[in-house]
Amino acid sequence: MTASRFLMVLSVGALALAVTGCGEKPVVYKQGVYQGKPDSKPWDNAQFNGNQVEWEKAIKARTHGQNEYSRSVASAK
Amino acid sequence: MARMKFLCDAERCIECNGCVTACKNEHEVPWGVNRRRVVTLNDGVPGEKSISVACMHCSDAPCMAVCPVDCFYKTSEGVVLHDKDLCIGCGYCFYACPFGAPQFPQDGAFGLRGKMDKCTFCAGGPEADNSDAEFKKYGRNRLAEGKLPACAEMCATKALLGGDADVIADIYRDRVLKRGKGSEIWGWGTAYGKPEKPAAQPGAKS
Repeated sequence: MTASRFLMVLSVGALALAVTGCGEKPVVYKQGVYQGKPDSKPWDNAQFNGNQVEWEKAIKARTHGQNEYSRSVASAK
Repeated sequence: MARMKFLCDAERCIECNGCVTACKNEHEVPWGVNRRRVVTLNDGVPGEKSISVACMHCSDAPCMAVCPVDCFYKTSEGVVLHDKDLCIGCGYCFYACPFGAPQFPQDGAFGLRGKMDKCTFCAGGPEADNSDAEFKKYGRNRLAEGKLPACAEMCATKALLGGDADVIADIYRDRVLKRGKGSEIWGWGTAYGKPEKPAAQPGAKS
């Protein structure tokens, strides 16, 4: 490797090192705003495949299942 | 979109602690941490009333307002959750909560206070749904499985209702209208039926 090529590689490396910090985004704390990791929706999984309507239907059926008056009427029929 | 809430019917709660046990078992909650508990007023006195208490997932949650690191968030279903990676265990939320819901695991010789733990409405936390990390930090995510919280679904007398606020309010309203009030709820007539004609008392003069 010649001296000029070595200098060029060195300067490119130094330049890359110098601008490394430029890509860093400043972390600004905003009061009252959630600072943690984002959470996924309960229907974004293999069971519901992102189908919100299906998920809401399943939850609604479970919720209505807590009403034993409607259960007893349904079983009496 | 549903607004998830709990509703406890004090007329039905028999203080069996089934909800507490269901929660402990479902999430493998450590010793000393009680995400749910049963509170009884006038314990041992006739007419005592019990109620099952946990995080009520307030619409305007005071814990969210006081958290110095803003680790709380509210899901689109109205469930108040928090990120344990951010929580510093300061205990401000415990002082702000009117229900005493935030719990702090204590460990070590000096009772070191750990990160806050509370009822998640069985909705896990900010980790991949039903992953090991989510289970270890927040417990099982039943909501992602299309199920309601274990405590409400396990309640034997259906005193504890959980789910969409409008639906459980309708269930409760319907229940109150059907069962009546006062002695119509509990009493001799409810337990043994109300005879059309009272049986003649022996020795009674007609």
